[in-house]
Amino acid sequence: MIQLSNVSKRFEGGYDALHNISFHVRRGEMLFLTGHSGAGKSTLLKLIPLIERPTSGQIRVNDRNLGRFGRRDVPLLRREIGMIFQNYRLLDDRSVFDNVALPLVVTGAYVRREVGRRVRAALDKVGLLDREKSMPRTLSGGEQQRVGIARAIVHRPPLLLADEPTGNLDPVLSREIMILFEQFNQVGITVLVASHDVKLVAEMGYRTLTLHRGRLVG
Amino acid sequence: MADETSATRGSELSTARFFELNKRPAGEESGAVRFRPAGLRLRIRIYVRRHFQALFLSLGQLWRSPLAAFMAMTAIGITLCLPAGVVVFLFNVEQLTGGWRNASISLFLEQGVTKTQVAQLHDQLARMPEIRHVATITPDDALAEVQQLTGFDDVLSALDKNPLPYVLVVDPADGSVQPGVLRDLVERLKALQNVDLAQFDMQWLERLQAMIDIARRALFILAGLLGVAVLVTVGNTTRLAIEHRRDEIEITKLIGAKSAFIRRPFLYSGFWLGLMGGAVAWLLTYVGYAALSDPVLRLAALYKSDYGLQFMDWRASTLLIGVSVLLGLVGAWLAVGKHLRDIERA
Repeated sequence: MIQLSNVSKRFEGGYDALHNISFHVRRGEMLFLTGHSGAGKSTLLKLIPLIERPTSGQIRVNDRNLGRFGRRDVPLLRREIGMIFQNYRLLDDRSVFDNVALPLVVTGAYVRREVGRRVRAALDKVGLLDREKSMPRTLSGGEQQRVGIARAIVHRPPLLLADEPTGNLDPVLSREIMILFEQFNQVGITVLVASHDVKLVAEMGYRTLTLHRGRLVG
Repeated sequence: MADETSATRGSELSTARFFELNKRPAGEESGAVRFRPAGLRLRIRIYVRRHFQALFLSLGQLWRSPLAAFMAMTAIGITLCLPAGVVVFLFNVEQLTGGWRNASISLFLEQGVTKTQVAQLHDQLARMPEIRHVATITPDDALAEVQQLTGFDDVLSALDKNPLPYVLVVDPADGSVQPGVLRDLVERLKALQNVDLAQFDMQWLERLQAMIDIARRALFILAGLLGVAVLVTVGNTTRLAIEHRRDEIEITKLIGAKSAFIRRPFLYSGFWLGLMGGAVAWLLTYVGYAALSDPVLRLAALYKSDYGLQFMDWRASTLLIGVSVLLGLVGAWLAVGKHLRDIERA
């Protein structure tokens, strides 16, 4: 599903965020990426939906070489990926429903009734069906993250990327979020989670990649 | 807490079914819930509807920041009402001089000419091809008119004899109404026997025409500069709106929105700003016109003219608002293009 070959990323100013990274995530696999803050987890995750481009090396997602993706192709790539962020990145001036509907709305391929069904199904999956009219700010952190997850899966992408999804949550809520990811993975979704919570990652018991100062160490 | 744990409890739709449904082609699925992307015709309908949605969404956004919208609209309105006002002014000046262009040449005859000589001259002129019509005003007619118009009854009746000369009013034929030809005609009429004075203020008319030409050129420069000012106004308003919605733009981009999707509401905002700014410009110009209309009527009456100030017709009004809308769209387009690129780079 994801194949990195000798990928490096150097930021302007000469800071090397990633050194010669190579790994392969199989279709339907669930994989963790750990390491201290600043180890390059976020940067690595950003390369997959082309939020950043690698300085060298090759990345393949879903059997396509990202190097061949022009600016106009990027939105189409991102529509195949569900992204979950540490700070949720919800639109605070829109309801939970509208937030979750966004990935469907931007494609312009769905009528309103269809959007409603899909959004409610996604909210149902994360247990927030009764909060569709709420504004994000009125929800707890755990609930906001579940809204973020509903938004990431509403268009049923084959790949989920989560960048520190539990960074702002307590251990109990963190576990619940991880169990949600596990459920998605069990039905064939490829899931890649970056987390510095080594204990939780170990508990989950999936293959884990560890980054240290931009290098893959395990 | 109970609410939080519901995430992991079984829900009506199993996770497997939730994702599975996506993979099955439409029609195979017989369950209550069926998900499928829309077909082509539906897509076109959705596309059109989304444009309408963006159109009214952007109106709502303007409504939600009324001060910014009001300021931009007023700025555009004032900016555009200047050239619009100049256009109306020039139009009126041309209407007036157009009227004068058809004006007659007055031939004042020498004192002491006889009625027969006047009649001969009248016939002679009437036969000239450059002349369309000749009218004779006798001294008595003229005196009556002067009395009626000026109210100098007492003064005039104190005169023992009528001091006014015969006047022949000559209307040039249409073909002669060109500066050169007309000047030539006036010279020839002046040279005729018994003619004391041929009055036709050519020079004045030519000077006025030259001034109108300059004013028109100046109008183009003014309109160009003010058009740029409108672009800048709309561009700046759009920039602020983009800055304000930066988070939203970034998030929608992460989710896979194309640039067109993000650009659309801002373009429609530009459209609205242009439309409303154009309407304000029209209104301001009209207010100026209405304020000047009465004094001009009074002035015209003093000149024995029934000339009334004219306003833009519907075509000129449409043009004004159309140009304003176009400037709004272009201004928004330029700003959105530039600032979205900035956001993409960040």
